[in-house]
Amino acid sequence: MTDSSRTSLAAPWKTPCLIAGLVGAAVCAAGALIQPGQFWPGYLTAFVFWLGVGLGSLGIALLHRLTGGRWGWSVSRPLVAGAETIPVLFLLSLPLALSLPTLYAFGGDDSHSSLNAQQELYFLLPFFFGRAALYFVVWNILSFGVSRAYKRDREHGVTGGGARRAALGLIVFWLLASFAVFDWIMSVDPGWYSTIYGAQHTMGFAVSAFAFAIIVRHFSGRAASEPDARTQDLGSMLLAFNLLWVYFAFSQFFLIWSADLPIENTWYLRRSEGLWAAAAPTLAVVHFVVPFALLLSQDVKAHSRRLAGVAALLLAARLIDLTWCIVPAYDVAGAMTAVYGLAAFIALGGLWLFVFRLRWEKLAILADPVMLPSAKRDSADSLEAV
Amino acid sequence: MTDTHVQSDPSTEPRQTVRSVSQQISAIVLTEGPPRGWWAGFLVSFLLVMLLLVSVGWLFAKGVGIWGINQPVGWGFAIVNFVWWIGIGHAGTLISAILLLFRQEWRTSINRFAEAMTLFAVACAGLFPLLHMGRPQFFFWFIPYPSTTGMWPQFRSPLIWDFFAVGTYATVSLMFWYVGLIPDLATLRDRSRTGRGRIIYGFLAMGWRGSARHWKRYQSAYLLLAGLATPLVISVHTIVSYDFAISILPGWHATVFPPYFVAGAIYSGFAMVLTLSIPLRAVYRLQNFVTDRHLDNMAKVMLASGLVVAYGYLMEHFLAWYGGHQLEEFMLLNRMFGPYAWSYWALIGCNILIPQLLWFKSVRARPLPLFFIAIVINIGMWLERYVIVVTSLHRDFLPSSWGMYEPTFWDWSTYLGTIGLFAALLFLFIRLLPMISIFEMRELVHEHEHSGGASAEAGTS
Repeated sequence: MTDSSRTSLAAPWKTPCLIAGLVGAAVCAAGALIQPGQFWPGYLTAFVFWLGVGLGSLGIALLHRLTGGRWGWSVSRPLVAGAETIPVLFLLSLPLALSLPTLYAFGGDDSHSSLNAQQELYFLLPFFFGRAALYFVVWNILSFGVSRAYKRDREHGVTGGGARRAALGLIVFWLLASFAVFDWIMSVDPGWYSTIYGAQHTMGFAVSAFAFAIIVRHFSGRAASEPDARTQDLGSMLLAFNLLWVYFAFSQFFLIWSADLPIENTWYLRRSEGLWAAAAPTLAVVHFVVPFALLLSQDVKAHSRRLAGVAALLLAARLIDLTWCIVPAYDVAGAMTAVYGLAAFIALGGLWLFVFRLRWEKLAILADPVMLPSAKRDSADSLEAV
Repeated sequence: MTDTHVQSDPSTEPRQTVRSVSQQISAIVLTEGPPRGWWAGFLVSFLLVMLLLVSVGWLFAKGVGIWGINQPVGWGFAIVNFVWWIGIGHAGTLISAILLLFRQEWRTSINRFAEAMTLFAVACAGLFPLLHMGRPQFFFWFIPYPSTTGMWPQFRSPLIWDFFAVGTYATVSLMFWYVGLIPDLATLRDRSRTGRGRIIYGFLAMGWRGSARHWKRYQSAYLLLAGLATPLVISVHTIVSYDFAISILPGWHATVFPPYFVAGAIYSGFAMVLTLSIPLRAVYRLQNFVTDRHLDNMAKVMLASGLVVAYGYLMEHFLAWYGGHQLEEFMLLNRMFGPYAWSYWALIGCNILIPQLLWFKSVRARPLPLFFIAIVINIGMWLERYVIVVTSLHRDFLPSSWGMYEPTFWDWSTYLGTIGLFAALLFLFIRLLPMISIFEMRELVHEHEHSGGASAEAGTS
């Protein structure tokens, strides 16, 4: 809880992050030049992973502003700092403009045959880039709103205000995130579509972000070393977010499996060839069974250290899931994709964490309003049901 | 969504005491005679129950041919009504179990009543698949029992899963409701002034004496049941959505169906709770228990779940366009501009457009507009199932197999009859059992008195 423990644990982040980011970026630049076919799928995966942490933070920060509740206050600082990284995520997305011929059917000159007329229209490049710009502009506005509200709470105490704006923001956020998932992830398999795909990945972003915030909270020294109710709340929320993801992912699989229509099942068939066949069972274990079993236990979720361990497992599971969703779509991807993917993961992660850390330092600690007598009822009264 | 702070708007009136709570709620059952409105309402619903009996009797005599179902629309009203009632049944468990686990103390004055509503709605829902079978006397073929004929149900059919899901749901809801009633039944036993009342309520109270040990056992049982009931809120309507989505029919097969059905169920369930609680609290003057804050919160949950439903529609429409699949495109165009277009546009109006009024605090604060919006949503959610069932089936893959569906008098009479059954059961419930949990309200009042209206643990302890 003391300041000294916080700095001793958290301060050494920054420089190594920057160095790792720059070294990784150099490897990425080489990869992009030498083997673009192997490189770009790895870069896209790493980008979507870190985008998920930032976007998910924004979404959960909006959700908490809407609903209130004790669970959110103890992670509001990492969540708001995460939301504030959206400009850097925009910068990190820019290299992907070079990747279009490799990654997307609509990016090349002659590969239009696999798209139908509507998709040709939807993926006209000016429209595609315009949408991407719109997403980032709007997400940025929302993240401004979230951080301004945080600072206002810091100065004037928590009033519970701004809920209506947060509700509108959450709707816009969710819609744009769904369409961003269609634009950037679903489109790696040209022609394939699933109506739940946007919600599924947006929920995946929330899992990443909440897991990340739990880890940051643990290492920031703000968490008690003894089991406490606040930590347990976080564990329950992590369980809830993850179960929603599992529910969406399983529903999609189950309905496509049972209908077995060729226009849909190719997605899973592609992803069960060769080594990829191991991915889905692995996900079932590390994204569902193990975290589910662990998070049911109060012994695990009330201990900050153990909870952070489960959160780390879920972050790893998120990376496996995104890799499995993206990379098998590319025949050109190969063993080097793993190497470049790792380099991109480190590069983007290093740069992102560096910026995150800067933003996080700038945010003053918000006194937990549950501790304040004036807001004591808030935790019990506000609508926590999502 | 409230800019005013919650403290200014508590879930009980400040002047309530432990004694006044027991007095006011139990008096409705024990001492006050039923108001004239009760008799009128019960009479109307009782007549509708008679209509149901006639309809079902005629159905048994003649077979399902008296309904409008035929090729290609074989499901018709029976399944529309089944899904509608099951959806309504979701609010009870959501309010009771999930809000309990989330420590939402405002649930306390509406949970009993919402649970009863759930039971009656599930009973109405359960009727329809049985009646739709044609030979309802063989309903037990659903049960996988080792018979000498070696006949087993088709385990890959979601209709079989429905049987288990709805059966489990009904059982757990009943247990949850009854266990929650026991301390109140004891209160009624003790306050009852007639020997008959003491015997009946005493029998049902199972010897409850309110000892510390009883309360401890009670609490663990109640929390365990809440934990058991929580996944059921999701699972039942997920399986109902599988009834449709597992097929390959355009308009039914969409991966977004499970969460969108669950959201729709919560939507219609809260709409029904509002539809019932607004008149009830006016007739029985329960504004000090079901406060404006309850209505406000329920309206917000309704708005949120309605927006999830709207998201489901949007995804279906966008991806049908994006996918460029001829049959999917046709299905949507047929819904929007085909012979059943009226139902589609009415659905959009009822489920998406009109409920946006709930964004305004002034609308949420007025019971009358809220009541009308809730009814509009009930209609909208019925239309949603009608659109899904009828418009998807009536024109599928082959134009040569297309056809139209017209509900007959008996379709309507059976449907209205179940509404009567639902209402009649509710009227009896209000007359015979405490519609608000007496002991939970006492606990709430007690906590407010002792903590100056502040307790983070209220509702669970």
